[in-house]
Amino acid sequence: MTTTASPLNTRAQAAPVRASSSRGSRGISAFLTYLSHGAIWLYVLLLLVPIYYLVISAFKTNTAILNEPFNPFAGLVLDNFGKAWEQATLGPALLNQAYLTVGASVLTLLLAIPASYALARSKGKLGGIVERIFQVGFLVPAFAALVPTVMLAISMNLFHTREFLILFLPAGAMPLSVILLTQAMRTVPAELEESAVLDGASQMRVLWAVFLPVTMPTTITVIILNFLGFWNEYFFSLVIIGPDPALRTAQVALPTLSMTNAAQYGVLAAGIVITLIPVYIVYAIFAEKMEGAVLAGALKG
Amino acid sequence: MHRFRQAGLAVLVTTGLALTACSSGGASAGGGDADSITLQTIWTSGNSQGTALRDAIKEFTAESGIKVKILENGEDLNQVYETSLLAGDEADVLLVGLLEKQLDWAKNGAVIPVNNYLKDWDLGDAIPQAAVEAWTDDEDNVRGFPYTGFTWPWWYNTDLLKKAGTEVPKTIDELKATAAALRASGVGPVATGGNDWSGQKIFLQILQTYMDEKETIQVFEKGGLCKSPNAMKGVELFTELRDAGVFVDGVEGLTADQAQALYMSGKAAIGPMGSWAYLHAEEPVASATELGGFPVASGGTFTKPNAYRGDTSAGWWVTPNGQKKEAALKKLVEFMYKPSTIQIMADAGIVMATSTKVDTSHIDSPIIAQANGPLLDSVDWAVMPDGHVPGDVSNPMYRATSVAYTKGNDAKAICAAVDNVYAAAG
Repeated sequence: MTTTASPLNTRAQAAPVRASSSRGSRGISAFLTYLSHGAIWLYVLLLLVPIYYLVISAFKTNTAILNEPFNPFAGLVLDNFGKAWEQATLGPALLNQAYLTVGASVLTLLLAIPASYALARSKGKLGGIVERIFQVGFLVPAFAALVPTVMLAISMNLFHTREFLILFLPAGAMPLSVILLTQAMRTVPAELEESAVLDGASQMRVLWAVFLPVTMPTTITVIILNFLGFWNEYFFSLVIIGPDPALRTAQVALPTLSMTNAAQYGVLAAGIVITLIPVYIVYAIFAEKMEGAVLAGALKG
Repeated sequence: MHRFRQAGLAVLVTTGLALTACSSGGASAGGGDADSITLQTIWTSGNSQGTALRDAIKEFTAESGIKVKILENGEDLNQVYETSLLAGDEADVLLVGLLEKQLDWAKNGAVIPVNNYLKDWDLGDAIPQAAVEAWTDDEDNVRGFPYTGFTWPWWYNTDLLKKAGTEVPKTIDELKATAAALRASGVGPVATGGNDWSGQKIFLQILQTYMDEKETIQVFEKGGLCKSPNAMKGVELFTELRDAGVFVDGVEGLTADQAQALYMSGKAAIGPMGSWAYLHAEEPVASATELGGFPVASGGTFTKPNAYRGDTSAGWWVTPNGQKKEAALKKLVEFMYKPSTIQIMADAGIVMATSTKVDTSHIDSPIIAQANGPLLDSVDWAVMPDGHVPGDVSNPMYRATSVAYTKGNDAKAICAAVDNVYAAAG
């Protein structure tokens, strides 16, 4: 008598094996999940450490900052913020910083959006060459342009003015802005543009009513990136705008809070916290839209 | 990034100074209005010097009717000033120290030498000849009006020394024994910023132990430590102290601020610190502190413990734009040297380079009381390097002297590291 293994029997025998294997893979999967969660939390903590250090330092004395840097209760003082505000005249300095940042951001957008629109629609070789030129812009380190930039500011009679930097900073921001916006505008369906043209829309109208709304998430990303870059700009502001309290930016004012022989690290930390608040507000307002842009990019990919 | 910045600035400043030398003067920013002066300084609002300066300036404006706009800068003042000079838009007068790049300002036309002003303006006998000499370069240009100075003693915490069963060391052998006793009691010995300018100065202080003043100045100006037997003896003394554990652990990585914090918090019992720290000393450390100097070495040049002092902390520099406002500037400088104005500075704990007598008896600080009294008689004065070490050597030397504080580097390696800095500067 021969016995043939029925499918039922085979399944019955295989079931415990599968259950065991499944339990094993579930265990590995759970382990990997915990591991990845742990790694993410560790990464988050690493990001938070400098922020924690900065914030608690803003409430501490020099000696406590240097001797017990991570102890939040050592050498507590509350007047660092008031001192920072007063000693660095942060009120006017923040206004100057805002003027510079908003001016340069607006100018960058005014130049980058039409340029990107033209490059995105261009099908000839010239467009490709111009796009390559923008890409080459990444290769020029800003400091390499220091000498000619100062000379230019002097020859334009704009040395020791904020307006020169409003004109100059967009030059450094254009390559990234144009490349990001051009790529985004290339994804706009041709049908949308054609129907708008058939309805009699002008080029400006097509850009304003079709391309800009569709590429708004990327535009927001560009706005945030430029805002951060312009807000934190220190070196050209120091050299070209200079130390005049009526003109200087917050980034130029901050270092005066702590000198070699008279370090005030707590006051300096408080000043930095104050100047970070506008950055945080702008990021909070636009963050959701930027995440949307990143997500949209991922889905399109 | 920092290197890019430094290189960019170096090119800019070199170009700027060359153009300035070729031009006959540009637009004036401070310029034009004779009833206003632009003053650029590192005496910021955040320190007692800045507060005293503002008080004095208020009085000056009330008295003269001349408005003074104050531009504050950090350590980057020299770079910012040189760039504005290129544009012909520099401040009229500077209140800044004599070190590094500033050493060559009079020679390269960045400022106007004040030789004639010293004779013509009514400053009385406020400026001692020694201070004028400290401000004079090798082309006999008096770079600026000497204004504030400093003392730079070694601070000894007598409470901690007593707990360790020892007292303030007067000789090298005593210093080594004191360091061992302090370590045994769990307290750090000498704290200094082995990674920055403060450690460099202490290295150069020990370096000159066996050299006379002339040889010290020659070595500071030209280098050549390896070829100088007396300098090498100083370097060997340094390594001997380092290897005996005289400096706190990790000294090669410390900054001046960190070293000061170690002393002020009682974690180190000895700290060489300048007069800028006098008003930062709080109780109980202030009362326990005895100011002195680096102990006497057998066979050395000094017969008493030695410390630094200098007349180069800050001075008044006249700029090309300022030269056009000579009358207003004369009033400002004469006002700043009035005894009543100097008293304002002294009240803020500032050590003056002037010979005008000031009353500091009302300042409630045991450290300042010592600095103005017993310290002056208890120490010899070492040669301060700032006026002699070339500007383009001083900063790069920090790294070389950091090598000296690192265990395992012998005297030959250290002298070679320092000499290489001089050779690189040409």
